Amino acid sequence: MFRKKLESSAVPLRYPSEPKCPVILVLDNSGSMDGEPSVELRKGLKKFLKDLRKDDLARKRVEISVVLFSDSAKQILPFSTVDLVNEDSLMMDPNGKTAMGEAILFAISRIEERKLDYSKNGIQYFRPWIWLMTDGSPTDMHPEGNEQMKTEWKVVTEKVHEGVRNGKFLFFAVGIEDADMDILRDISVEPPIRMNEQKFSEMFDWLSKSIASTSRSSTSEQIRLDPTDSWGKRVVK
Amino acid sequence: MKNFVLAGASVQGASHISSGTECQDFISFAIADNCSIMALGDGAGSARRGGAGARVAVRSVMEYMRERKYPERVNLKHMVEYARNSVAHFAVLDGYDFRDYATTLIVLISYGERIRLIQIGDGGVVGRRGDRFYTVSQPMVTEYANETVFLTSTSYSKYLRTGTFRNYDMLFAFTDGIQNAILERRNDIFFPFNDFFSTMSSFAEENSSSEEMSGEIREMLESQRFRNISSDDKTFGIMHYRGDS
Repeated sequence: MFRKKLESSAVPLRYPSEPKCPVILVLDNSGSMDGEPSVELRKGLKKFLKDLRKDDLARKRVEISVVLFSDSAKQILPFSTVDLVNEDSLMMDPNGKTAMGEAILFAISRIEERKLDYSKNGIQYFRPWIWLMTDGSPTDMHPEGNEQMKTEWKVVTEKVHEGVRNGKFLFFAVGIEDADMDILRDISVEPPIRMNEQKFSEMFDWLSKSIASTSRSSTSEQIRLDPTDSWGKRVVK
Repeated sequence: MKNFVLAGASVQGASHISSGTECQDFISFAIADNCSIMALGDGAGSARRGGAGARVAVRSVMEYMRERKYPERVNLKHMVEYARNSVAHFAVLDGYDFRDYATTLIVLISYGERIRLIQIGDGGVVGRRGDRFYTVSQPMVTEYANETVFLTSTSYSKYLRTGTFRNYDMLFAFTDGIQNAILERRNDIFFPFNDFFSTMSSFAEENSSSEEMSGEIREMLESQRFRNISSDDKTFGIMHYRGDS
């Protein structure tokens, strides 16, 4: 009897696109990062991109953006899959102050824009990551600063806390060397992590693994991250 | 007697093959005199025993129907509790936390004209009425690609969907591994991708060997083309009611 076989090549499908995992790195580029920290940071960043490229799924799913902050915040890399990133273009030229408040608000806006783009194009996405790194203390916001700084402080911390609690994004803060950990602890919902001396490479190694494993998850109630012992300590009160 | 043809398969996705994880999707189906039943589960990738959760949940649903001799009236909420308790018992014996068995669950029971449905989590069900296709049950999704509700979630009853439908002669059930390629999402509503479902319904019309059909569905899900959809495990099942004899 004639039987029609199911030919997978003849089965019509929509054009599915990989779900995206947006990650925005918000990096301190103020004067104090000059010298070894910024050299090591850049080296770590290069390795981070290289490692993500080696992971077949992360290559398709992870989208990295980089925001630098000094006197103001600047996006030096718009959200891009790692294959499209030319790391030579990720120039850091540390100088100036530490506009961390501006940078955080800027990063949150970029994340929301990106989500809208995804939705418009029918692309599914994972919970975005905001990864903040600093070696100092913000110069544009402070709970004990002048009126303007106090207001900015309130706006930024509320926005971060609200975003994390409502699942809009994940927020991690990493302190390098003399970073003001008290400030980071107040901004972040999760305890901030103080990086051990010059452990940039280990930190980025951890980050690429964690992001890759998140981008692999199909359904998860909770993201379980590995301990950070290899590069830093969580600072709890 | 009612005539049913059921077929379906679960295959492992590339990400689970490369990480050496077992397939975390599971499907089972059975035909009785008065009805047919299909159940599928998608064990959570992040849960350590998600695959076992899917297997136990699906098997316990099948067992529930068999032991009660395929009743005409089923208390669907009771059935879900039974599945949940079975997973909980298994967890105790197996030695992991209950939430390590996180799984979604879809159950279809067709009495011919009348269809009962259970869904918790993502994946979905499409039905054919006349020559048109409708989303009978759509994926329960949150904003993010990797987050849904599970049979093991503490708040599962809040999200549990149960229902009775009529006049779908053919039903298609699937897990989230292929959902994006066969449903179109417009805002928060999912519509069937017609071309796909009309191809699958012709396939079901023209065949009647469950075994051969299941084999071909498996081959289809394992093909490179379907692998490109997602690296996730994939399940697809067809339930066709062909009238009484």
